[in-house]
Amino acid sequence: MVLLQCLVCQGVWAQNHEPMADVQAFKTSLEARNSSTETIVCHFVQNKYLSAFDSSVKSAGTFTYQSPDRICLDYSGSPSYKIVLAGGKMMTVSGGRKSVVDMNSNPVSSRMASLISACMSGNPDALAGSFDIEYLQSAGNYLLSVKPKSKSVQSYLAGMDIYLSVNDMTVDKLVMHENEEDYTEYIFTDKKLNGPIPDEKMFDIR
Amino acid sequence: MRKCLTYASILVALLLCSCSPRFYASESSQGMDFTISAGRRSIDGTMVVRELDGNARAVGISRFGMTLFDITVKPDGTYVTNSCADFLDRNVVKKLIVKNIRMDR
Repeated sequence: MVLLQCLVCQGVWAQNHEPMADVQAFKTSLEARNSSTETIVCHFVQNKYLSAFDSSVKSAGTFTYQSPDRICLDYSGSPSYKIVLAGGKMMTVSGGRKSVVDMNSNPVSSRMASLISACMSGNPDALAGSFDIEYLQSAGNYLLSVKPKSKSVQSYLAGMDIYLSVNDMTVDKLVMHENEEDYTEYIFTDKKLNGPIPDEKMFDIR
Repeated sequence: MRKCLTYASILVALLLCSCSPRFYASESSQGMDFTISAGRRSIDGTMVVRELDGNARAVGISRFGMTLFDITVKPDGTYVTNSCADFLDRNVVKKLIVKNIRMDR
């Protein structure tokens, strides 16, 4: 069953994508979705592929988004780990130990955080200044292929693929390519839009 | 950038979250969580180590999935940096990582 599910998933992602027929219409729909989405709570699986070992490191947890820019990645497993992005700050909680950084003080982490934030909130225009975006689509999903303009960013991020559902325009999958071989993918499932978030205080950074 | 360099230069501790003082590389991949701390700041991640071609290969990954370092450690303790994030690319940091890796022999 799991194998079948994997094959079905692979089939969805592997579909041939063609240039989007009407990018402006897509942006308008995405904007409408953004303005009507207050919260997203879903399950995520993070899969980091290491070409050096030809193997993957997997982790999973709960993803929570609250409009306009609050994001929490709560990893399951031991030790517990949580990343919270809100108000220009990033807080990590590892095994009960908190660390808060201004997003501007750690350029690499903050860039990654803002990228994930822009992708998950479905706001590709936030990336437009620093990235070239190619808009593609297939029968099953939309694909935004994003390439950094800056060579310094290219040194750790070759590009990103953002897959959005054609049904509700939420992000189904995000793939961050470090180079031609190594990548990290996030797969989002069981999405609940505009429902209650698990804990109102989860975004409190102090 | 200046903050980053300061951060790197004052890195004082590599806390490998394990009871074992050494991480032994074997033919199968092994992972362990790590924290690199400097004052109040820290970065967490997972380090994966495996024996490859007679050497130990250690790859550090941030929680976001970004590769932080990729180091090959030779049996004599010398090492080759395959890649390393700018803010960690300091000998003191890499030596601390290498110091915690041994071949499983």
